[in-house]
Amino acid sequence: MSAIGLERERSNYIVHPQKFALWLFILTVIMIFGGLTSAYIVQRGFVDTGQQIIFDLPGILWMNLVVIVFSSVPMQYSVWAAKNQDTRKAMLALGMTFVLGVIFLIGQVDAWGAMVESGLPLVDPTRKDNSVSFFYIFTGLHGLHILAALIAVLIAFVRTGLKDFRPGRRALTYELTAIFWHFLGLLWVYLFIFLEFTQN
Amino acid sequence: MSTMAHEGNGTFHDELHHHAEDHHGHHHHGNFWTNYVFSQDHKVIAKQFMITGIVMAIIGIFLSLLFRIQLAFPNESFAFMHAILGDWAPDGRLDPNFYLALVTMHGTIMVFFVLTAGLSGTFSNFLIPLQIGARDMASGFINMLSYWFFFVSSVIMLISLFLPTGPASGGWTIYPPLSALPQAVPGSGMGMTLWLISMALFIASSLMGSINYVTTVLNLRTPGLTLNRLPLTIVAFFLTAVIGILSFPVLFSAALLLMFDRLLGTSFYLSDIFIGGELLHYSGGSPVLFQHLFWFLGHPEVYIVLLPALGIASEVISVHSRKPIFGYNFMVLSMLAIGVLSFIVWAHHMFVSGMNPFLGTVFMIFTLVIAVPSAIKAFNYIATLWRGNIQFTPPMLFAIGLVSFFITGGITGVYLGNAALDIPLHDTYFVTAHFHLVMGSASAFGFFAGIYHWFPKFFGRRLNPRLGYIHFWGTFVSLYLVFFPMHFMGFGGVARHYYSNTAFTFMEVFVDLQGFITFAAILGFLVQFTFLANFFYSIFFGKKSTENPWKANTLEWTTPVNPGHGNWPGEIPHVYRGPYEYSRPDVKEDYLPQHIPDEEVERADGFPEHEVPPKRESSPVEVKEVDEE
Repeated sequence: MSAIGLERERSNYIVHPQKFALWLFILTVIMIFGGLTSAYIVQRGFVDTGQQIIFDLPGILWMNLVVIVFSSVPMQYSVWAAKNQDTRKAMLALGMTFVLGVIFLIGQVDAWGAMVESGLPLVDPTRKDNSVSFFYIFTGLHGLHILAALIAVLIAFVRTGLKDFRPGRRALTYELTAIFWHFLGLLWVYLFIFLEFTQN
Repeated sequence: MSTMAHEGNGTFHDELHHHAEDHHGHHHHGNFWTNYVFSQDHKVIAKQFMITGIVMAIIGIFLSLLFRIQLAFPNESFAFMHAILGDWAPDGRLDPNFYLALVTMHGTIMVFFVLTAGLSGTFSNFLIPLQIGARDMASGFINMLSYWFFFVSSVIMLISLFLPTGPASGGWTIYPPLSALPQAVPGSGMGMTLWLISMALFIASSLMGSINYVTTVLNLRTPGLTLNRLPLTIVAFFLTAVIGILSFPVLFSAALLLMFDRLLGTSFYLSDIFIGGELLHYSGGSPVLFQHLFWFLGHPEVYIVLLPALGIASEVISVHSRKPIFGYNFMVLSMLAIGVLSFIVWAHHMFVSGMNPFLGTVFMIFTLVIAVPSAIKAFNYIATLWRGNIQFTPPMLFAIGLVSFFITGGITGVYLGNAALDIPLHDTYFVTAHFHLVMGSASAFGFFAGIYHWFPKFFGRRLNPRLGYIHFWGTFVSLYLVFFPMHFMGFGGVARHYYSNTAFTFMEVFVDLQGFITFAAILGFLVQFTFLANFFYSIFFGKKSTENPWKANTLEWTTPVNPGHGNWPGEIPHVYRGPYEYSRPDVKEDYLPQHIPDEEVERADGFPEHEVPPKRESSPVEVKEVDEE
């Protein structure tokens, strides 16, 4: 291809702007959990060893870990299906993702119940260690983001059904939803490992 | 912008679908609401931020006058105080609790609503697409949301001023336990809750804006505008947005934990507290944790305030001295260094919090280091001015004034950055003087320089220069008269946030000085009305402007005088050089815009025309069959 007089291509993105913006948003979510993680570590440092509370995470969270990681599979499948114009399979896969996400949230709430029952509620004046309170903060904030992602999944589902996409936008919408979904799954893996294994 | 309006929800501006063609001669309708209220046009949104910022500034300065009157006349009562404040100034004397509320709200409004949103929101929104050659921001929808979240956040913050228990009163830094316990001070009741809600919305607005700016600068530049040809304003706005993305979420987490402590009784920040003789139930937390989380945002925040002003100064100083900015690469590297370093100095706000002195030393070292890139920038501004063809226009004066405040305020930062020196100076008026000069005044002057310089672009008209000169001198002098004496008060040990200085003899000697400062502050406030009158009058009746009144090089001056949607009616200009080609000896004019191809440049007498490199014959690509040898 002749190089002489070639104007630079009008479009110079390596990453589509909307995708890029999503990654920036993901960066902000990372920062908020990073701040909270650091806060957890700092406050842990303030507590005398004798008064530290080390607790096992409720068993249901292990199951939830599997649920949320697995849910990335139908989510990614739906992206593939959308790109291949198979809207029926895409919607089916989105539906599976949605259901798994709801199961995850129910599991999180269940975990909260289990914590309260084993004597570890959000507020406890006799405690000198805030690690338990942080548990609720982490799971709650993550859960809120899952809720937002579920709304995104629902919107994609509805718009697919109503064929409400401009040409070429459907694949992008699925991709964006998937990126956010996978990120939240990875975030849960991180939080789970952090809360379960780093309590000393 | 109905082309974009019916692109649907949350869509980004897809450059692949050229909208240029749509703008020829078409009349786009939208209704009043989509065109002027919920506009997705970056220029309208910028003006929305600008006006809201100006209104919040008037309110913020007014609040400061109220408490300055108390400081200057601590034992006197004034009927007008009672008239304005009602029960908050019974007998005409300011209620001590409301004094704390006033200083808190003054700080909050000025730092966040005026200098962050009002500065970044206005200029980043307006200039980024225009200077990089884009039709609009990457997402007009998110941009629109970012303004309206800011608007709602401002309304909530202002509502809190009128609560019966008063607005938040813990200082703009809202440290717990004071801010966590409603029993501690009235403002820590509903006022504090509204503060937190308002700030949560503000953070959302700021993040939306920042994501948009970064995406736009990286993705939507016109051909030829490589990263090393970016105007320094854009570099500054870009870095500011990156800093914001990384630091505002942490404030959100600090506020979240505070909300939990206040509303649900957790003990993240609280432990072993007696109030009114009663032991509260909180245990296990630490107020220092809040300080760490807060200042992790708090320090980068001051650079979020300052960097746009520095970017504007670079642009204005260069244009109005008809000289390239001195040391472009170092200006960029300095801003980058400031941005990076700003994340590792936060605990210099906590030197006296009881932390390990060794840790203090670490933060001290980085704090002193950050003075270096800041100084490089100051030197470069001066070097740009040196032997320039200086046009002493109002924007230029404000830009030079910015350099003055930046240097004066910056020097005292070196004092405060030394941990040992900070011990007697922390929480005194020395600190107040420092940040009001280096951040408040410098950024305010950056705002004014930007307004005076780009007013023709915003509104197609000119501001009256005579009023501009009065505004500059009045503000410049009054700011120094207000804040310079505070250094001495600080050395003398006068503490911040004290309702009156009469309780201690060593502070009492400064009461007359407080009076002087208040007087200067009132004068400064009154001078602002020359600006306000000039500003609002000129929007409608100012002298009409030409397309490029300052003869500048950057792309925003190539649009029509009143740029419409999409900014350029035809093709977007391409860029062929950097933005600082001023007073080139081989060029006839003293400026060389970025968008003029080399062949079309008018050469000065005696200089040869630009040589077009001879077209090379391209050697045809040889296609060899794989089997051939």
